[in-house]
Amino acid sequence: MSEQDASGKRRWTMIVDLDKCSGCGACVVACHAENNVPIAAEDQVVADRSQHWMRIERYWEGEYPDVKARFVPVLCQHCGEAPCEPVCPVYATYHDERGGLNAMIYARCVGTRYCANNCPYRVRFFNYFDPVFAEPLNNQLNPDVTVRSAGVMEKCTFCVQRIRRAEHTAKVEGRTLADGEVLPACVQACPTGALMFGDRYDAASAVAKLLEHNGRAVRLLETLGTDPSIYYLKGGTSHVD
Amino acid sequence: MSIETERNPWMSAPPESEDEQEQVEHLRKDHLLLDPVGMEAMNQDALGSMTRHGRWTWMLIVVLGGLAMMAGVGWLVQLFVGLGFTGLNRTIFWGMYIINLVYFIGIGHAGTFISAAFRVMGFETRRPIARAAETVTLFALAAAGLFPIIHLGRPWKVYWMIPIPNQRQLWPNFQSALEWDAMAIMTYVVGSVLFIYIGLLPDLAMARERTGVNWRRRLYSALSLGWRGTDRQWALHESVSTIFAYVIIPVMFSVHTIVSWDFAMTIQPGWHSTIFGPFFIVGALYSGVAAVLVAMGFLRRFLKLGYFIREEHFDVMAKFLLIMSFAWIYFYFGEFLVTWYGNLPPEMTILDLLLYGEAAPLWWLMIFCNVVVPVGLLWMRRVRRNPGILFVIAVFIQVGMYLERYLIVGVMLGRPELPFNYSWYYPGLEIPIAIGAFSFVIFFYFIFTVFVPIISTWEVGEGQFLHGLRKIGRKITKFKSDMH
Amino acid sequence: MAEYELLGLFQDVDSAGDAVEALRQVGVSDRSLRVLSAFPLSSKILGRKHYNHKLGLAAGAGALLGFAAAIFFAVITPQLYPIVVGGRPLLNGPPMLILVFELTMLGTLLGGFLGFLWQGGFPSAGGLYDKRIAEGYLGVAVQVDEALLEKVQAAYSAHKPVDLKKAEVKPRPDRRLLIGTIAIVALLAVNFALLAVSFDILHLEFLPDQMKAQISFASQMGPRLGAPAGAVPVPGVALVGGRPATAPLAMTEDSLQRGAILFDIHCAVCHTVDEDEPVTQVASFFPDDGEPPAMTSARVMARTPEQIFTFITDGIGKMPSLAENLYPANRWDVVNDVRSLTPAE
Repeated sequence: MSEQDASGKRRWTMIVDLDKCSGCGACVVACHAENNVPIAAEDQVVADRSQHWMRIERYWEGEYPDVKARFVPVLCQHCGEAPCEPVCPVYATYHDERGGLNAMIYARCVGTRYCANNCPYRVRFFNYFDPVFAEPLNNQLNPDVTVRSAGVMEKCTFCVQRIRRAEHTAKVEGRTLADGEVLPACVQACPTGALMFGDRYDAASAVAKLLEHNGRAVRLLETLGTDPSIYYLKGGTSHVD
Repeated sequence: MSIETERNPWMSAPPESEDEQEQVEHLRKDHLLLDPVGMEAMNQDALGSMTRHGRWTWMLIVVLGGLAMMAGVGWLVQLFVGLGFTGLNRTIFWGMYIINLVYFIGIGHAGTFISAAFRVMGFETRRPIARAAETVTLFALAAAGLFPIIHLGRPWKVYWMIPIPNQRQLWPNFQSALEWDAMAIMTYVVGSVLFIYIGLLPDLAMARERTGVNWRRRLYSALSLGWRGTDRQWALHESVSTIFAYVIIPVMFSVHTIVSWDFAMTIQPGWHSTIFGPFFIVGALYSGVAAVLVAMGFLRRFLKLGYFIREEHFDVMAKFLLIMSFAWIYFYFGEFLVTWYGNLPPEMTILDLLLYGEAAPLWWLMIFCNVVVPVGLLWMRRVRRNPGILFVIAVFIQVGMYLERYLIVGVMLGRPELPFNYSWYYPGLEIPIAIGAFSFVIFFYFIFTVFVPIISTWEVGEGQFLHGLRKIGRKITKFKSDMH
Repeated sequence: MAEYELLGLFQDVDSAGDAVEALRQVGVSDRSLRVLSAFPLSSKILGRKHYNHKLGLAAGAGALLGFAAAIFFAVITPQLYPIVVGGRPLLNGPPMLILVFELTMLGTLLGGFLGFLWQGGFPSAGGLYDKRIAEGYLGVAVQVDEALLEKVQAAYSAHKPVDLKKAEVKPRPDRRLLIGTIAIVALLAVNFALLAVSFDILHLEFLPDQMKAQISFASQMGPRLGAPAGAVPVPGVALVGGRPATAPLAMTEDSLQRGAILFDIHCAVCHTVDEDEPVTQVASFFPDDGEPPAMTSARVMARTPEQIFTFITDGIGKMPSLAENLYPANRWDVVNDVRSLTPAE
C-alpha cells in the first residue's frame, strides 16, 4: 500500500469509513458550495438527472422489521486506470500523473458523453441545461472553479483547486506539502470524521498508515481492474468475524 | 428512330414449335435478362420514371419534407437550450440519437453490399437493383452522419475531432473508438458516394443525350464529365469499379464493426462482448436488405418500374433476407446463451430485464418482428414473390431491428454495475427528430429519383447481352456467356 | 495537313468488329481507333488490343499516402502533446492498426478514383458523338490524316454503317490540368478556412463559448458588497489563514523601499497618500461609493499594523483582498510603508 514513488508523484487517496458515516449529507452540500455544482430542480430529479458530484447511496439491509439502512458515499473514484479516459476523442478527460487524479478539462469537452457511459460508478454528470444561479446566489460561486455551461461533462475533482493552491503556497514558502494540509470540501465538512484524505505514496501520511494493515479496506467494483483511489472501510457487522 | 432489331446474337434462333414458343415466353416473363426490349425502350422507361411521380407521391414527398424540417427546428431548439429536452439522464447518456446512428448505418450497409459483393461474385440479380440499393446507402449514410453531431453536447465544437493542426496544439485521441468511428464513417461515405457516382456516369451521359436543351441537360452534361462510352473508358470503368468493390467490402465490414465497438469497448454490462462486431454486421445486413426491399417495393409500385424490378429480384432478395435472419438469430442466441450460462450478476440483471422485466414487451415484440414473421413466412415461394407481403415483412424487420438497437442502447445502459444507478429511458425530443430523420431519408430518396435514373440501364443492357436461350434436348434453357 | 475524325454507326457487334478489323488493315493505328458503346464490351469481342491502364498504380500510390497519414496520426501526433489516458502507453498497437486500415483504404479509393478521372480524360467534351450510341448502336471512331481519308471511308462503307459522320479535328486544350488545379486550390481554400477557424484567426461569433464569460466573481472582479446593516465587528485577535496576524517585519530600510514600490503597484490605484491630493482615477469611477481613505488620514492612522495587514489580506468593505497579489512578507512591507507615512504640512 505504501509505495514510495521516487519521482515525487503523489497518489491522492480518500478513505471512507462506512462505520462512521451517518448519511447526513454534509459532504454533498459542501461539495455543491465549493465546486459550483448546479442544483437540479425537482422536475430534473424526477427525470433522473440529480447532479451531485458526491452522493450518498442508501441501501437497505435485511427484511422488515429488522431493516438497516446502509450509506455509501460515492464520488469519482479517481481510478488509476480509468475507463472513462481513453474513450474521450478530444482528451477532455485525462490522467494527471502528478497527483494520480482523474482530471477533467471542461473547455475541451464537446459532449460525446462516452466517458459517462464507460464509468461503472456513474459519477460523471452532464449539463443538460445551462446552470441557473439566480441573484444573489451567483455571489457565493467559487471563483476558482469554472461554472460549467450546457453540453459539457463534469465530475468530482478531489477539489483540485485546493490541491493546487496548497502546492503553490508550499512552494512559495519553500517547504513540502504537509500531510493533512489539503482537504477537499467534503472531508472538511464531514462531522463524524468518516472521510480521510491524503497522499498514499507518502508512507508517513495518515492515509497510508491506516491502509497498511487494515482488513476492512475494500474498493468499489475492484474486479473491474480500474484501480480506484477511494478506499471504503467496511461497515456494519460485515467485518466482524 | 427506333431500333426494332433483336440485338442479342444468341437469341436469334426463333422458336420452332408452339411448345417452344410457350417455353420462351415463360422464360422471358420470369427473367429480366432474357427479355430484351432494346436499349432505347429501356432508356425511355428508366428516364420516364423520373416524371412518373403521381399526385399522391408528390403529396407524400411534401409531407416528408415538412417532417424533416420539423426535425430541423427541433434540433435548433436543442442547439440553443442544450440536450435537456431529450430523455437522457444521469445513467443513460446515449439515447435515440446513437440508436438512429446505428440503425441508419445498418441500413446503409445493404446497398453497398448488394452492389459490391454481388458484383464481385457475379450475381446477375444486382443489375436492375444495384442503383436503387446504393441510393438507400447514400441517404441512410447522410442521415447517419448527422446523428453523431446532433448527439453532441456542444456540436459547434465538432471540428475538434478532426485531426488538423490547431491553436490548442491538441490532436484527437486516436485511442477513442469514436475517433475510429469518425475515420471509418468518413472512408465509407467517400467510398460509397464515389462508387455510386462511377456507376452513374454512363447513365448520366445517356440522360444527357435524351434530354432537350434545358437546365437538366446542362446538369447532366456537367455531371457526366463528358462520358462517351469509348472502349478505353469502359475498360477503366470496369477496373475502377472492381477496385472499389474489393475495397469497399472490407471497409463496410469495418464500419459496422467499429460502430459496434463504440459499445463493446466499454465495460458496461451487456455491451462488453467480443461477438458485437459480427453480430452488428449481420444485423446491419439484415435490416439493410429489408430496407432495400422496401425501396424496391416503392419503386415498382409508385414509379411503375415493373419491367426492371421483377418478382425474381424480390425472390432473390427475400432468400437473402431469410439467410440473414438465420444468421442474426444464431448470433443473438449465442450472445444470450453465453450470458445465461455465465450467470454474472450484472449481465443476468439485463437478461432478466429483457426476458421478464420492464423491457419484456419490447423484447418479445422484437423477437416477433425479427424471428417469427420472417422465418415463418419467407420460406414460402408465394410470399417471396409477392412484393406487397414482402413490403410488410420488410417493415416488420425495420421495426424489429430498430427495437434491437433500442434495447442495446436505451435499455441496457440503464442497468450499470451499481443498482443505485438503475434507470429507464423515456425519450422526448428524440422522437420528432427520429421521425424527421426517417422522413429525410425517404424524402431525399424520392427527390433523387426525380433527377437521376434509378435503374442502371447499361448494367441491364450488358446483362441482356450476355444472357441467351439455348435448346438442350426438348427444353429451352437459359445460359450465360462469359465476356472476359 | 488536316486531320479528320470519322464516326461510323453500326447496329450490331459483329459488323462493328469487322469494321474495326478492316480499318486496322488500311493502316489506322490502334491508338487512334475508338469503339463507342452503351455498355461495356471486352476488347476481345471488338478485336482490339488489350488496354494496359495504370489504375492499380494510382490506387497503390493513394494507399501509400493514406498509410503515411495513418502512421502520422497514430504514431507522431501523440508525441507532439503527450497526454496519458487510462494508464496506457502513448503508442498503442490495436488502435493504430484500425487507423492504418481505414486511411489506407480511403487512400486506395481516392487514388483509384483520381486515376480513373485522369486516365479516362475526364472531364472532356470533345469528339464526334451520336445520341443513338446511348440507345444501343455501336460507334467506331477514327482519327486519320487526309492521306488515309479515302481508304478509311471505303473501309467504313464496306461494312454498311447506319450513319457515317465526318469532322475536321480541331485542337482541343487538355482541361484536366486546369480543372485539377482548380480542384486543388478549392481544397486548399477549404483547408485554410478550417485552419483559420481552428487557430481562432477567423473568429466566428455564432460559435458560442459559454465558459469564457463566467458568472462567478474572481478576485478583484466583482462588485464588493458592503457589510449588512447592523453588522458589528468581531472583537479579538484577527486571524489570517488560521494564524494570528502578528508577525510584523522590522521597519528596515529594505522593507520600507520594497513597501513603497509595492504600494505604488497595488494600492496607489485607489488610495492617495495625502487627503489633499485629487481623487485617484479608479475611485473616480465609483463616485457613489465614497472615496477610499488617504493613507495619512486620521482614519488610517488610527489603525494598528495588524489591522492594516488584515485589510490587505482579506479586504474590507469595498476593498478586495490582495492576498493573491502579495505574499505575507510583502504585505508587511506595505504595512511598514503605510505606517512610515506622515501627513503633508
